[in-house]
Amino acid sequence: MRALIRHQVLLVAGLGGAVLFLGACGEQSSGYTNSAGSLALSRDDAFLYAVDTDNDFVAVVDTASNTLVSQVPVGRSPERVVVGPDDTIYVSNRASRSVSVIKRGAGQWLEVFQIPVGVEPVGLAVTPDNQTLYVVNSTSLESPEVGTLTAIDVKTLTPRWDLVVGEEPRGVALINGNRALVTLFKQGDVVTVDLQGPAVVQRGTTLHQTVNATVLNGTSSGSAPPTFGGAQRTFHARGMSDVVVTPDGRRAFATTQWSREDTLTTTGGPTTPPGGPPGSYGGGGGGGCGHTGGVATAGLSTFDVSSMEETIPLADDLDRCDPSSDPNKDFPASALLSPDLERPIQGPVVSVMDSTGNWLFVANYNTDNVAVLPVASRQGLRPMGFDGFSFRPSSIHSVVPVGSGPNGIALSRDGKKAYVYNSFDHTISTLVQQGSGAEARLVTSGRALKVADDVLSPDVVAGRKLFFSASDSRMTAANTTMACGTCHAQNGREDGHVWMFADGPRQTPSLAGRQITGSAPFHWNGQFANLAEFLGETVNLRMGGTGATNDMAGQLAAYIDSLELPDNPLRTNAPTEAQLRGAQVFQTAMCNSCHGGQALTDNSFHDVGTLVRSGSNPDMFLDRGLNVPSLLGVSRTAPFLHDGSATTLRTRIFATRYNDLHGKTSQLSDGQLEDLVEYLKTL
Amino acid sequence: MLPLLVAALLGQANDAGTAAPPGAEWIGLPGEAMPPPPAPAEARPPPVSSLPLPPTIEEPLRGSSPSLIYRPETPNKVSLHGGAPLTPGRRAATVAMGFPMLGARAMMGVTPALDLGLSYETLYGLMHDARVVGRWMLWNDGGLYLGVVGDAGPAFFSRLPTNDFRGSRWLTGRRNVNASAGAVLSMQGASPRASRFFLTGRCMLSLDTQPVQTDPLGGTPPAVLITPNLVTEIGLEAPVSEWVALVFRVGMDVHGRADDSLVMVTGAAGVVTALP
Repeated sequence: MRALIRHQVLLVAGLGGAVLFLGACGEQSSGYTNSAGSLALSRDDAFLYAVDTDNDFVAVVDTASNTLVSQVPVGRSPERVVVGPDDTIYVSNRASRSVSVIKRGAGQWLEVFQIPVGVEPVGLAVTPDNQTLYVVNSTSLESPEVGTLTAIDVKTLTPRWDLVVGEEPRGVALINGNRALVTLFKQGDVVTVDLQGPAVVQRGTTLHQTVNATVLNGTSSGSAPPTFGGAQRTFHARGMSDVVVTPDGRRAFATTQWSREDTLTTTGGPTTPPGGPPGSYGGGGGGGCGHTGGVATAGLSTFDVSSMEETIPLADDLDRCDPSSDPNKDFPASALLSPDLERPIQGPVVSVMDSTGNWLFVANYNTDNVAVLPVASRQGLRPMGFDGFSFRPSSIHSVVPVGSGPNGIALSRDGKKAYVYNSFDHTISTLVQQGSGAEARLVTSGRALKVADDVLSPDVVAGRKLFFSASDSRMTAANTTMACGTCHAQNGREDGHVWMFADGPRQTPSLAGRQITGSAPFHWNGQFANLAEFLGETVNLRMGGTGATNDMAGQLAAYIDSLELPDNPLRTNAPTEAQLRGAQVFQTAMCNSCHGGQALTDNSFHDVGTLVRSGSNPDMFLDRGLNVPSLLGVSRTAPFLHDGSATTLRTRIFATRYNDLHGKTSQLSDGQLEDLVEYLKTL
Repeated sequence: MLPLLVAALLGQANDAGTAAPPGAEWIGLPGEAMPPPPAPAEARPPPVSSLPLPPTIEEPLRGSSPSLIYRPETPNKVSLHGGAPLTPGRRAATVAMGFPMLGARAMMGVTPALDLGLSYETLYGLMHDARVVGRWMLWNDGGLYLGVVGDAGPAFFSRLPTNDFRGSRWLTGRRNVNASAGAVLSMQGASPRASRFFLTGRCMLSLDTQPVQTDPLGGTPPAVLITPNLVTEIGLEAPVSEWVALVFRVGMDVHGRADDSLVMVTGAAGVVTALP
């Protein structure tokens, strides 16, 4: 009997111990970081590192005294910064094809090395064991059409491998040390990489199908009411610039810009929301619910990354009227709808999470604010928010105004401060909680600290702010919240989107390095003879701005003229034989008869056989044909043509080689056409 | 559990209806006919020395069915909520349905004063709380018992803490690991079927191994957040037989964490039974 009792006691104790152990376990390491974009904190939170793209240096700020203590020169156009576990600072130099390595000494910082990497490096991540640095290159060193993820040995600072991940990648986040998510800026999706392989194990997700479930599949992801007004809208995620992972490695969040794919109306909406009549790009103009009826809506894409097998998108059906307030969804609303019309949200570029994985801070480049929202619920709100049509709960807790062009954010490890780098102002804002309990509010603490001066001309500085502002009432209406940079994203380039205007499809053309202001008339149909006309139509009528003055037009022109052509690995001083032959073919095929001159356009009009004559959204008012676009930097502007019908240059050249409508190519051999493609890639 | 409760309740009502005098009841097995009532006193033969002795618990009544046993009422000593311990080797279990929790507990007597066991409670699937439980009798005087009780174990929640806004954590005050210790006082009358009243007061420490930042920029919580709570309960175990008792209890948990509900009122009804 005694033995039996002892046995049973041991059994009970064992079971108890087992459940205790199981209860205590469960956490796993992840690639969580407390900073994103152009700003990072040292491991002891004593110093802030802010990369200043204009000045080509890293500003070092003492957080205790809030003073600038150093400016460390790095490569050209530094973009992002990350701090490794050993406090080494890594900076991606977009215009130098390098990553700067900065060591922290006794009160000083020094760039000790620049690691050569791919073209226009952006995203950075260091493994928690400090073994490997991962760098996202916008394009590889071999082709402008694909970007890569490079793994660099932290000890030797040499590359281990370089993996093609897709077109125009930007952000990277590590998941539990063995996987990585990489965002594709224009495709608006994430690629899943097995870091041990290395190999791309998933080239994309079903995000597009998920957010358009009702329209594409006839199914809905939620129980929200049906489409507002009978219109069916579909959306394309663009501008996926960055991604972060929760501390437990279960979820990932990517900043997104939802862009309408359906036909955009140009008439006013069913009601006029407070704040004045919207532009035709606005939420009321397109018909629909709140801002998701607008042409472009700030968003956040959630991914379930808990499974090793598949990265699964968790998203609202954006064609539904009310995707934001469902309390049963354990992920943030896919559309970032501000609870406060006075503080709209547009241009989310980077985000960061608190160390407990409860709050997400999103820096909004176009509206100069930070949106704070709960990560796993929709309950972080102030009681009710107004989204343009009705009062309803907002999934956003706070929208905190900061300086101009915020593109970096870092959270202190004590969870009490958020720092934001305002790239256009060269200042750092500090966010704190004011008050407590129900009265707690997030505010900026004191004046923003200026860490660098303007080195660009005053007109360029002012023009850049105008170009990227979706909150300046002169440029856009509060319920439209569009900036020039909403479509001409990434420094005046393009977003890879084809907009279905009422007069036909229009792919966003790049403005960077194309001598645009000297190439009037403007737009694909050439309807604007000069910039003033263009601004009158686009800024006033479409974006809902009160009006751009001549001074503003001059400032915008100055900024556009300052934009550099995107870097191209094939644009070298030593072209290949194929490229040289291709240059000859360019002449032979008479491409240069239209794409001639310095800007590779004669600003004339031609029908190259691409006009859309039928279907639901045909081209209209194009009797003259299309305005010839510049070919400068063409290789990085996919998809091609005004309707985006060619996904690669090769596809375009070979598909219509025999009709001689787009160059005299019918007599050219396959080899000559291949050479022509090689040449075009170098432009 | 519900059929058990119903059966127990019916059994109690039946006992009350017959109103048999103490020491004179017959217990039948299911399906058996009730034994005939005892013959009137005057019909009984006068006591003589040659007559058989009164029946005992081990000896079937002569002339009656072999399956019928006469047994004098034995006090119910099977308590899982009071301070009275089980005897060494004896096992007992309880199940209870209530609001907001339902749960079960099984214990075994280890020494004359110490019982050990396991308990489980669930917030109807939203939270599962499993614990090792112990009870040590400190003192008793007749029907009055004073003991100390303690338990510890993990809790599992259906939602992540980041998605448990006003959810099971908020309501129960419990977290990943919970441990409590306190005193229990119980009292039982002299009657074999007298109810046992009990009163417990415990301090429960909830260990939050996944604390989340409740307010943005409100500060990072420590890696493990320990919160004291006060758990109180009163109730009674109402025996319906030597081995089975009904239990009714109400209580109030007072939570020490600011972002939890201030109190959680509890109530439950169930059954306590000895295990073979």
